Amino acid sequence: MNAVFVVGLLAVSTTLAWTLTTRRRDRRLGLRATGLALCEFAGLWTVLLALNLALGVTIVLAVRTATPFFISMYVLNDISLAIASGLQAFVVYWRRHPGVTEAA
Amino acid sequence: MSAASVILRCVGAVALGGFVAVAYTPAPNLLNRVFSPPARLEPAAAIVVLAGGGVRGDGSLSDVSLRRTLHGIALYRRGLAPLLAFSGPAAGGMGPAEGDVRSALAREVGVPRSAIISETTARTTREEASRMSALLLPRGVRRVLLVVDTQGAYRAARLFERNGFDPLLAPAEDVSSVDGSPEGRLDLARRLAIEIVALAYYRVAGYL
Repeated sequence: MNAVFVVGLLAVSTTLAWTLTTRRRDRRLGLRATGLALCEFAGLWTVLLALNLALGVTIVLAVRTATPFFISMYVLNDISLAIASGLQAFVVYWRRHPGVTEAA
Repeated sequence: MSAASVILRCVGAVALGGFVAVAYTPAPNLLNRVFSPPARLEPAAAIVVLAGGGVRGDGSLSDVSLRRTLHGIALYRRGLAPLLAFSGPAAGGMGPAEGDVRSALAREVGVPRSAIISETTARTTREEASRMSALLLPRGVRRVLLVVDTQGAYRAARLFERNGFDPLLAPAEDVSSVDGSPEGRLDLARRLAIEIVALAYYRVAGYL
Protein backbone atom coordinates (compact mmCIF):
# COMPACT_ATOMS: atom_id res chain seq x y z
CA MET A 1 0.00 0.00 0.00
CA ASN A 2 2.84 2.37 0.90
CA ALA A 3 4.56 1.64 -2.40
CA VAL A 4 1.38 2.27 -4.40
CA PHE A 5 0.81 5.59 -2.64
CA VAL A 6 4.41 6.74 -3.13
CA VAL A 7 4.44 5.73 -6.80
CA GLY A 8 1.12 7.51 -7.37
CA LEU A 9 2.38 10.62 -5.63
CA LEU A 10 5.53 10.66 -7.75
CA ALA A 11 3.54 10.14 -10.94
CA VAL A 12 1.30 13.13 -10.15
CA SER A 13 4.14 15.45 -9.14
CA THR A 14 6.25 14.44 -12.16
CA THR A 15 3.36 15.10 -14.53
CA LEU A 16 2.73 18.47 -12.89
CA ALA A 17 6.38 19.48 -13.03
CA TRP A 18 6.65 18.39 -16.68
CA THR A 19 3.54 20.31 -17.65
CA LEU A 20 4.55 23.48 -15.82
CA THR A 21 8.09 23.58 -17.17
CA THR A 22 7.05 22.93 -20.76
CA ARG A 23 4.42 25.66 -20.60
CA ARG A 24 6.72 28.29 -19.21
CA ARG A 25 9.69 27.61 -21.42
CA ASP A 26 10.14 26.58 -24.97
CA ARG A 27 12.09 23.49 -24.05
CA ARG A 28 14.03 21.80 -26.79
CA LEU A 29 14.40 18.75 -24.65
CA GLY A 30 11.81 16.17 -25.47
CA LEU A 31 10.85 13.14 -23.44
CA ARG A 32 13.56 10.97 -25.00
CA ALA A 33 16.30 13.53 -24.47
CA THR A 34 15.17 14.06 -20.88
CA GLY A 35 15.25 10.33 -20.25
CA LEU A 36 18.76 10.06 -21.65
CA ALA A 37 19.91 12.99 -19.50
CA LEU A 38 18.35 11.35 -16.45
CA CYS A 39 20.17 8.09 -17.24
CA GLU A 40 23.49 9.91 -17.64
CA PHE A 41 23.02 11.76 -14.36
CA ALA A 42 22.05 8.53 -12.59
CA GLY A 43 25.09 6.85 -14.11
CA LEU A 44 27.36 9.58 -12.80
CA TRP A 45 25.74 9.30 -9.38
CA THR A 46 26.26 5.53 -9.35
CA VAL A 47 29.88 5.76 -10.47
CA LEU A 48 30.70 8.47 -7.93
CA LEU A 49 29.03 6.53 -5.12
CA ALA A 50 30.97 3.42 -6.08
CA LEU A 51 34.20 5.44 -6.18
CA ASN A 52 33.49 6.97 -2.79
CA LEU A 53 32.82 3.54 -1.30
CA ALA A 54 35.90 2.00 -2.91
CA LEU A 55 38.08 4.87 -1.71
CA GLY A 56 36.54 4.62 1.77
CA VAL A 57 37.24 0.89 1.99
CA THR A 58 40.82 1.47 0.83
CA ILE A 59 41.40 4.18 3.44
CA VAL A 60 39.84 2.10 6.24
CA LEU A 61 41.98 -0.92 5.39
CA ALA A 62 45.12 1.25 5.05
CA VAL A 63 44.53 2.86 8.45
CA ARG A 64 43.92 -0.54 10.05
CA THR A 65 47.06 -1.97 8.47
CA ALA A 66 49.49 0.92 8.80
CA THR A 67 48.46 2.48 12.11
CA PRO A 68 47.34 1.31 15.55
CA PHE A 69 43.96 2.97 14.96
CA PHE A 70 40.79 1.11 14.03
CA ILE A 71 38.05 2.47 11.79
CA SER A 72 34.90 0.42 11.38
CA MET A 73 33.71 -0.34 7.86
CA TYR A 74 30.28 0.71 9.05
CA VAL A 75 31.32 4.38 8.84
CA LEU A 76 30.59 3.91 5.13
CA ASN A 77 27.04 2.80 5.94
CA ASP A 78 25.89 6.40 6.12
CA ILE A 79 23.03 7.70 4.03
CA SER A 80 24.70 11.13 3.74
CA LEU A 81 27.41 9.52 1.61
CA ALA A 82 24.82 8.54 -1.00
CA ILE A 83 23.21 11.99 -0.92
CA ALA A 84 26.56 13.80 -1.16
CA SER A 85 27.52 11.55 -4.08
CA GLY A 86 24.39 12.83 -5.83
CA LEU A 87 25.55 16.41 -5.30
CA GLN A 88 28.97 15.51 -6.67
CA ALA A 89 27.23 13.95 -9.67
CA PHE A 90 25.32 17.18 -10.29
CA VAL A 91 28.55 19.19 -10.32
CA VAL A 92 30.25 16.75 -12.69
CA TYR A 93 27.18 16.62 -14.94
CA TRP A 94 27.05 20.40 -15.11
CA ARG A 95 30.75 20.56 -15.98
CA ARG A 96 30.20 18.01 -18.75
CA HIS A 97 27.20 19.89 -20.13
CA PRO A 98 27.61 23.59 -19.29
CA GLY A 99 25.43 24.59 -22.24
CA VAL A 100 22.34 23.06 -20.63
CA THR A 101 22.25 25.50 -17.74
CA GLU A 102 23.80 28.47 -19.54
CA ALA A 103 21.10 28.32 -22.22
CA ALA A 104 18.46 28.30 -19.47
CA MET B 1 27.74 11.46 -28.35
CA SER B 2 30.89 10.34 -26.56
CA ALA B 3 31.62 6.79 -25.45
CA ALA B 4 31.67 8.02 -21.86
CA SER B 5 28.13 9.34 -22.22
CA VAL B 6 26.91 6.03 -23.62
CA ILE B 7 28.53 4.09 -20.78
CA LEU B 8 27.18 6.46 -18.16
CA ARG B 9 23.68 6.23 -19.64
CA CYS B 10 23.83 2.44 -19.59
CA VAL B 11 25.08 2.42 -15.99
CA GLY B 12 22.39 4.93 -15.07
CA ALA B 13 19.64 2.93 -16.75
CA VAL B 14 20.70 -0.19 -14.84
CA ALA B 15 20.90 1.79 -11.59
CA LEU B 16 17.44 3.32 -12.11
CA GLY B 17 15.99 -0.09 -12.97
CA GLY B 18 17.66 -1.54 -9.90
CA PHE B 19 16.28 1.22 -7.70
CA VAL B 20 12.74 0.62 -8.95
CA ALA B 21 13.10 -3.15 -8.50
CA VAL B 22 14.48 -2.79 -4.97
CA ALA B 23 12.13 -0.09 -3.69
CA TYR B 24 8.87 -1.02 -5.39
CA THR B 25 8.94 -4.81 -5.79
CA PRO B 26 9.46 -7.66 -3.31
CA ALA B 27 12.88 -8.46 -4.84
CA PRO B 28 14.88 -7.67 -1.67
CA ASN B 29 12.45 -9.67 0.47
CA LEU B 30 12.91 -12.67 -1.82
CA LEU B 31 16.69 -12.28 -1.95
CA ASN B 32 16.74 -12.07 1.84
CA ARG B 33 15.40 -15.63 2.03
CA VAL B 34 18.69 -16.84 0.54
CA PHE B 35 20.53 -15.14 3.40
CA SER B 36 18.18 -16.35 6.12
CA PRO B 37 19.31 -19.62 7.58
CA PRO B 38 16.63 -21.17 9.81
CA ALA B 39 16.70 -20.46 13.53
CA ARG B 40 17.49 -23.39 15.82
CA LEU B 41 16.24 -22.49 19.28
CA GLU B 42 17.50 -25.45 21.25
CA PRO B 43 19.17 -25.78 24.67
CA ALA B 44 22.81 -24.67 24.64
CA ALA B 45 25.61 -23.95 27.07
CA ALA B 46 25.55 -20.19 26.45
CA ILE B 47 23.78 -17.45 24.56
CA VAL B 48 26.19 -15.17 22.68
CA VAL B 49 24.81 -11.78 21.64
CA LEU B 50 27.04 -10.23 18.98
CA ALA B 51 27.66 -6.49 18.77
CA GLY B 52 25.52 -4.42 16.47
CA GLY B 53 24.74 -0.74 16.27
CA GLY B 54 26.74 0.14 19.37
CA VAL B 55 25.96 2.79 21.96
CA ARG B 56 24.48 6.18 21.11
CA GLY B 57 26.00 9.47 22.19
CA ASP B 58 23.73 9.61 25.24
CA GLY B 59 25.02 6.27 26.50
CA SER B 60 21.92 4.27 25.60
CA LEU B 61 21.90 1.27 23.28
CA SER B 62 21.10 1.77 19.61
CA ASP B 63 17.87 0.25 18.31
CA VAL B 64 19.70 -2.66 16.71
CA SER B 65 21.75 -3.36 19.82
CA LEU B 66 18.70 -3.13 22.07
CA ARG B 67 16.75 -5.52 19.85
CA ARG B 68 19.52 -8.13 19.98
CA THR B 69 20.00 -7.66 23.72
CA LEU B 70 16.32 -8.18 24.46
CA HIS B 71 16.27 -11.22 22.20
CA GLY B 72 19.20 -12.69 24.14
CA ILE B 73 17.54 -11.96 27.47
CA ALA B 74 14.30 -13.55 26.26
CA LEU B 75 16.19 -16.70 25.25
CA TYR B 76 17.82 -16.77 28.69
CA ARG B 77 14.44 -16.34 30.37
CA ARG B 78 13.16 -19.30 28.37
CA GLY B 79 15.85 -21.37 30.03
CA LEU B 80 17.69 -22.21 26.82
CA ALA B 81 21.13 -21.58 28.35
CA PRO B 82 22.60 -20.80 31.79
CA LEU B 83 25.06 -18.18 30.50
CA LEU B 84 24.45 -14.93 28.64
CA ALA B 85 27.49 -13.44 26.89
CA PHE B 86 27.34 -9.90 25.51
CA SER B 87 29.81 -8.47 23.05
CA GLY B 88 30.46 -4.89 21.98
CA PRO B 89 33.26 -2.35 22.33
CA ALA B 90 33.09 1.34 23.14
CA ALA B 91 32.61 3.53 20.07
CA GLY B 92 36.05 4.82 19.05
CA GLY B 93 37.43 3.41 22.31
CA MET B 94 35.65 6.12 24.31
CA GLY B 95 32.50 6.16 26.41
CA PRO B 96 30.63 3.13 27.70
CA ALA B 97 31.21 -0.19 25.97
CA GLU B 98 28.22 -1.77 24.27
CA GLY B 99 28.86 -5.07 26.08
CA ASP B 100 28.82 -3.35 29.48
CA VAL B 101 25.63 -1.37 28.76
CA ARG B 102 23.93 -4.59 27.62
CA SER B 103 25.10 -6.39 30.77
CA ALA B 104 23.74 -3.59 32.96
CA LEU B 105 20.37 -3.81 31.21
CA ALA B 106 20.27 -7.58 31.68
CA ARG B 107 21.01 -7.21 35.40
CA GLU B 108 18.28 -4.57 35.71
CA VAL B 109 15.71 -6.98 34.34
CA GLY B 110 16.70 -9.75 36.69
CA VAL B 111 19.44 -11.77 35.03
CA PRO B 112 21.90 -12.70 37.81
CA ARG B 113 25.37 -11.17 37.58
CA SER B 114 26.92 -14.64 37.74
CA ALA B 115 25.15 -15.62 34.51
CA ILE B 116 26.47 -12.65 32.50
CA ILE B 117 29.72 -12.38 30.59
CA SER B 118 30.77 -9.12 28.92
CA GLU B 119 33.37 -8.89 26.16
CA THR B 120 34.29 -5.34 25.20
CA THR B 121 37.44 -5.55 23.10
CA ALA B 122 36.39 -7.26 19.86
CA ARG B 123 35.78 -4.83 16.98
CA THR B 124 34.87 -7.18 14.15
CA THR B 125 32.83 -10.38 13.87
CA ARG B 126 36.04 -12.35 13.43
CA GLU B 127 37.49 -10.86 16.61
CA GLU B 128 34.23 -11.57 18.45
CA ALA B 129 34.44 -15.27 17.56
CA SER B 130 38.07 -15.39 18.64
CA ARG B 131 37.58 -13.54 21.95
CA MET B 132 34.46 -15.51 22.81
CA SER B 133 36.36 -18.73 22.26
CA ALA B 134 39.02 -17.56 24.71
CA LEU B 135 36.32 -16.75 27.27
CA LEU B 136 33.91 -19.65 26.80
CA LEU B 137 35.81 -22.71 25.58
CA PRO B 138 37.83 -23.00 28.84
CA ARG B 139 34.45 -23.19 30.65
CA GLY B 140 33.52 -26.14 28.52
CA VAL B 141 31.06 -24.12 26.46
CA ARG B 142 30.87 -25.30 22.86
CA ARG B 143 27.21 -25.28 21.93
CA VAL B 144 26.05 -21.67 21.81
CA LEU B 145 22.93 -19.86 20.70
CA LEU B 146 24.16 -17.10 18.44
CA VAL B 147 22.15 -13.89 18.45
CA VAL B 148 23.03 -11.89 15.34
CA ASP B 149 21.20 -10.19 12.49
CA THR B 150 19.54 -12.48 9.97
CA GLN B 151 21.72 -11.37 7.07
CA GLY B 152 25.00 -11.88 8.92
CA ALA B 153 24.00 -15.19 10.54
CA TYR B 154 25.73 -17.46 8.02
CA ARG B 155 29.07 -15.61 8.21
CA ALA B 156 28.97 -15.42 12.00
CA ALA B 157 28.12 -19.11 12.32
CA ARG B 158 31.04 -20.11 10.08
CA LEU B 159 33.44 -17.96 12.11
CA PHE B 160 32.24 -19.47 15.39
CA GLU B 161 32.57 -22.96 13.94
CA ARG B 162 36.15 -22.20 12.96
CA ASN B 163 36.82 -21.11 16.52
CA GLY B 164 35.66 -24.40 18.02
CA PHE B 165 31.99 -23.70 18.71
CA ASP B 166 28.86 -25.56 17.73
CA PRO B 167 26.65 -22.55 16.97
CA LEU B 168 22.86 -22.63 16.86
CA LEU B 169 21.37 -19.63 15.11
CA ALA B 170 18.94 -17.42 16.98
CA PRO B 171 18.81 -14.41 14.65
CA ALA B 172 17.21 -11.16 15.68
CA GLU B 173 15.66 -9.30 12.77
CA ASP B 174 17.43 -5.93 12.83
CA VAL B 175 15.58 -5.08 9.63
CA SER B 176 12.20 -6.61 8.92
CA SER B 177 12.35 -9.17 6.13
CA VAL B 178 8.66 -8.73 5.29
CA ASP B 179 8.40 -4.93 5.33
CA GLY B 180 6.54 -3.89 2.19
CA SER B 181 7.29 -0.17 2.37
CA PRO B 182 9.81 1.27 -0.13
CA GLU B 183 11.98 2.57 2.71
CA GLY B 184 11.93 -0.81 4.46
CA ARG B 185 12.90 -2.58 1.26
CA LEU B 186 15.73 -0.12 0.58
CA ASP B 187 16.98 -0.66 4.14
CA LEU B 188 16.81 -4.42 3.68
CA ALA B 189 18.64 -4.17 0.35
CA ARG B 190 21.36 -2.07 1.96
CA ARG B 191 21.84 -4.68 4.69
CA LEU B 192 22.02 -7.41 2.09
CA ALA B 193 24.56 -5.45 0.03
CA ILE B 194 26.72 -4.90 3.11
CA GLU B 195 26.61 -8.59 3.96
CA ILE B 196 27.44 -9.65 0.39
CA VAL B 197 30.51 -7.38 0.43
CA ALA B 198 31.47 -8.62 3.92
CA LEU B 199 31.14 -12.25 2.82
CA ALA B 200 33.30 -11.59 -0.24
CA TYR B 201 35.93 -9.81 1.86
CA TYR B 202 36.02 -12.58 4.48
CA ARG B 203 36.40 -15.21 1.76
CA VAL B 204 39.18 -13.33 -0.04
CA ALA B 205 40.97 -12.72 3.25
CA GLY B 206 40.69 -16.42 4.11
CA TYR B 207 38.64 -15.86 7.27
CA LEU B 208 35.89 -18.31 6.25
